[in-house]
Amino acid sequence: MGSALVKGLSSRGKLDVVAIVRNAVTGRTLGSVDADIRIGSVTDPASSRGVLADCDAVINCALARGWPAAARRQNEAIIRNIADAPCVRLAVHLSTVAVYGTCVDPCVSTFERPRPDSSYGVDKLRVERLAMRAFSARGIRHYIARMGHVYGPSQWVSRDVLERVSNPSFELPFGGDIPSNAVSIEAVVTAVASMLNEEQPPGVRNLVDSPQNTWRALYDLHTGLVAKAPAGSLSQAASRALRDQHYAAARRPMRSLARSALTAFGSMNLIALAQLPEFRHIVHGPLLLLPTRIEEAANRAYVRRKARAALREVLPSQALLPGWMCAPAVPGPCFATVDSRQATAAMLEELRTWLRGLSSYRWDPGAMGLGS
Amino acid sequence: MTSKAVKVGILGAGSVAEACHLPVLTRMPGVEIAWLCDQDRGRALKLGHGWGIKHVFDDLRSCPDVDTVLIAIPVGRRRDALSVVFERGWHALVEKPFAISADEHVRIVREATHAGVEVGVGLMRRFFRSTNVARLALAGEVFGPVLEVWAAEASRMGATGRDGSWYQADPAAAGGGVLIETGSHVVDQVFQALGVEAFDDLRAVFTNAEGIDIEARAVANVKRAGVAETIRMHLVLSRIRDLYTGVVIRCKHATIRLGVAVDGLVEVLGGDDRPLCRLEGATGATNLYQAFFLEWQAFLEQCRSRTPSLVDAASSLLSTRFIETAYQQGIGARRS
Repeated sequence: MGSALVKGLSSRGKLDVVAIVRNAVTGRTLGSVDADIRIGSVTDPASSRGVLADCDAVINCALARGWPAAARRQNEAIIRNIADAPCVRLAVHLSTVAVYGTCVDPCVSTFERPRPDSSYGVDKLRVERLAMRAFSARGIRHYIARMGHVYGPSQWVSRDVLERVSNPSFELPFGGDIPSNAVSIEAVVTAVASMLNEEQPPGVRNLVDSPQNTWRALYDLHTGLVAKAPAGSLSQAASRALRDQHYAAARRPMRSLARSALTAFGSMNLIALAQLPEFRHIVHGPLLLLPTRIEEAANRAYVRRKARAALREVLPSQALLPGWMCAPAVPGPCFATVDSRQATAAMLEELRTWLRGLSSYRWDPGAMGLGS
Repeated sequence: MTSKAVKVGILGAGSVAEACHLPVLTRMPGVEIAWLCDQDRGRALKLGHGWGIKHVFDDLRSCPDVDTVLIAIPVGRRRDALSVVFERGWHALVEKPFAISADEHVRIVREATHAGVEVGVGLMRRFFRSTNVARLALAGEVFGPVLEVWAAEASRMGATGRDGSWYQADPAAAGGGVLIETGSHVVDQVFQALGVEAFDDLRAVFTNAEGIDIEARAVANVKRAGVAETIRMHLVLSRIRDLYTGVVIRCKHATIRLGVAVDGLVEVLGGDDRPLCRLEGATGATNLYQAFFLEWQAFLEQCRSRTPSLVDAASSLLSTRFIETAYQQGIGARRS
């Protein structure tokens, strides 16, 4: 995201872009961009003062990772250090639609009172609130963008699409005919540029395609660019069941956890245990005392379990599709951005080249000066 | 070495020691970690405390004797350390990349032989199940003679979490860029899978930034042991581009693809390069801890038996020479 913003904003020519990276190698991978690349850390107050000294605006794409407590401290430090930077009068903070939950449930999660159901969403919501308070206290004009799922060259959604469609049994929930809550990287760059130019009111809003693309349109765009067959469609009933499953897990996490624990217990290899000579030796005496009725019931349970385990070996269960693939549209207002069809057209060739590079192992040595 | 616990010393308290070697060594039967040494004493103390290592040093010369040392410091900063290790008569398992040049590689092996100690190389991908399966399938010529190879590991570098002191930002310490850092694994994986014994007509082209190669492409003819015909090998390594990643081996009757990651699959591809089926194997690592465990097991056995193991340092000389030749002859090579 950061490198795409540096490239996109610097190519627009109206801004002096400064890219802050943590080490020289990362800086070098930005390529030939018309930007001032500075090495430093915004988690460290002294380093942050240095690298942000003359910046009028900051776009915060940084997200500390690692152990939760350490990551949280670092994310808080990033916000503090941006707010304390001497010249900063405008800040763009990139949050996420994950604050509404993995599968947006309009009955429980709203724009004003989002209910995240993942540690990522919880942390992002916490940091966006911290950012609002810190920037308001310093009088910094701020934009908090709850980013949709970003697609385009080098973006995770596009990579995810390519991986999913390589599995012939993949099917799009609801046939893909639901809003994707996705946003093209081109639309992100355009929206952020307009925020920096103060062309839209500050505050918290979603940043998704406008008009929204369906998953079907997004998948067809990607498969079309690499000449792959379109993804299949999951039936309406199965799609609703999938969505309900995600809703139930989000509404009653403890019940979901207990069910998973029971399933894990159920998948314990009790057959192998029962076949251990030591186990048989121990239970042999008590088994002799069992009434026939109970012995027969125990035997039936043993056979049932054995059959179930054997079938599982042959028929592996498919992983549940993620909640965001069957979610309805995110609630609340959105930042203005370029028309999604225009955005897609602008990045189409770059996306095609990137997708083809990812999907084909062949390259032309001759074109690289390496002979035929 | 006797049947008592093998004493291991660790030189370098960086991420590979912390994330890969220590979790494995602390669970290996018959191994005792005697000390941890790093020039950054604070880092060594912190890591040592976390893993219950009582003795921590910042100077290798002051470390007590051990049977074996793990050398987990950057390739460009090992010369003095290896001299001390060999003088003291310790065996050494050296993290990859083993050496910057073939001359250096040979010199280290020769010095180890002269000192009467064993030296191994940390190329743990040799223990991946996928590498094993591919090697077996290709050795048996199940799919006919190999026609060509396309190997790549390429993804745009994102957030590294590393600050300015990262050794990979210093070409003198890292010995180069993506070719030596990632290529030492990928080239070795290809050579292992195919049983390569020689190469020629190597041509390479680099994209550099301030002395560090951030993308490398190479083509070469490689010769498999016991096979007269040479094979064209294509190699791409990149930190600036997302590209198809994996090793594709085109044989006369089928194409095989193996993933470069530890859980990578070995797939047989159809005419349109779509996966048709998988090749399974019973031996080899399917996670990183297993790979490091097998690597240590092999090296400790080499130290005990004094017979070369799969990680014997001499066995990776060809890949060191391949990388050095690419740096010497490549277009745009700017290795420092």
